Amino acid sequence: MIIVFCLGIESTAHTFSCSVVNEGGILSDVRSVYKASEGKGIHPREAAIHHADNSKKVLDTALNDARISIKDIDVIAYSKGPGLGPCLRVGAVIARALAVYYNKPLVPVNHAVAHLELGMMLTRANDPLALLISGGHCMILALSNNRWRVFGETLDITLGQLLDQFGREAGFASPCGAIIEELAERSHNYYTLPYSIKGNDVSYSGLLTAAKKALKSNRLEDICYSLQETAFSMLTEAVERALAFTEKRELLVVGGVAANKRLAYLLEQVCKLHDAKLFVVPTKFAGDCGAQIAWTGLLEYHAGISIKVEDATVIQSWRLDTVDIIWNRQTLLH
Amino acid sequence: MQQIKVKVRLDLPYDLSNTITKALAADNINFPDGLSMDMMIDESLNIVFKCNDINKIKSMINTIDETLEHISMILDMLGEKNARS
Repeated sequence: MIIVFCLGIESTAHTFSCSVVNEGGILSDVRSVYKASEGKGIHPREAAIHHADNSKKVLDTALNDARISIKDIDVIAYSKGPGLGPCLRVGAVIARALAVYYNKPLVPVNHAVAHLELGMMLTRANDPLALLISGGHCMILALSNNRWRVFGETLDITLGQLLDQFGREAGFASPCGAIIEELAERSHNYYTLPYSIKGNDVSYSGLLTAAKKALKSNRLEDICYSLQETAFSMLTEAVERALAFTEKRELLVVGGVAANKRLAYLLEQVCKLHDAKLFVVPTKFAGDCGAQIAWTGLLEYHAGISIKVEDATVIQSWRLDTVDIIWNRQTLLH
Repeated sequence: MQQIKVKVRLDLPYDLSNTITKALAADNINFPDGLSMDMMIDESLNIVFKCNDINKIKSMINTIDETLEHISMILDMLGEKNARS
């Protein structure tokens, strides 16, 4: 097989990242993360300015780390969506400019699909039920007939949004998952919070409102503990039903919230009950990164996917269950 | 009807003008009614922003701001910011 070097550019939300991969794996992955001020959420335009200001440094470092020149890159992949418009446009403009100037093929990548593909590459999960949990996604998925099918998702806010919005109410800066996990470990006092599952979908907005309200008259550690236990139990219940229904023997967890050890423990217990193996994406690659775009771009390129520069638009709302998965990852993995 | 027109002229070599034009064109869609952006290359890269609705002048300012930021980023990315512009 001819070795193909793919540059991936990620810019859907707070992270601007570039990565170089080839069939042998990840050669570099460099990130610069926009930090909102404490108590505030991501401001799309400010995040985009951050990305633009840091783009050259990140790209140059990614190329240097991979010991490759931009002229030796074979294909350029970018996050087409879903994401924040101003942020997506920064990555797309860079990708289009490099593709035109250096005459390289351009590959559009769905950011959510890319989380799943990188997770499968890194863990070697083969045919998993997948749990995608981040600030932008909260979905239970399985691959069937060339598309990721949704077996459960949030009806309102995502798990990442729940943790971030609660954390900001408590005065922390996003992302807040790690500090909430740390505080939760200091308590075992459960404060009753709304537990809402509808069908196989979860609803977190009522839980968020109740947790914010409880914060005013209870210890922060107790509410962090109660919030995690409630939110994770809801999700674990939905995952267990999906495991039972699909009879999958693998569960893959990807996305920024995959780094949470308590959630991993609960999912591990469910997997044991259903004779399934748990695969959690390594923490380093759980959040948004260029490697997910580069790797998925490489898979797509080998499947013959590329687009003209004039067609390389961005789509802010691009559901992953509308993407045809026509590439064969096994040919690259073995 | 009042029209606000802003012209931006960048004296750049053709290869850079061509790269910028193509890199920006794909986002030049779904503009609000009354707002437009056109790019032409002659000896320079010319970008014309037009706004027919005084209530949309903030959108026009934001569009110009983002466009110039993207151009600056492209020139920086290609290592051409100080070399040729």
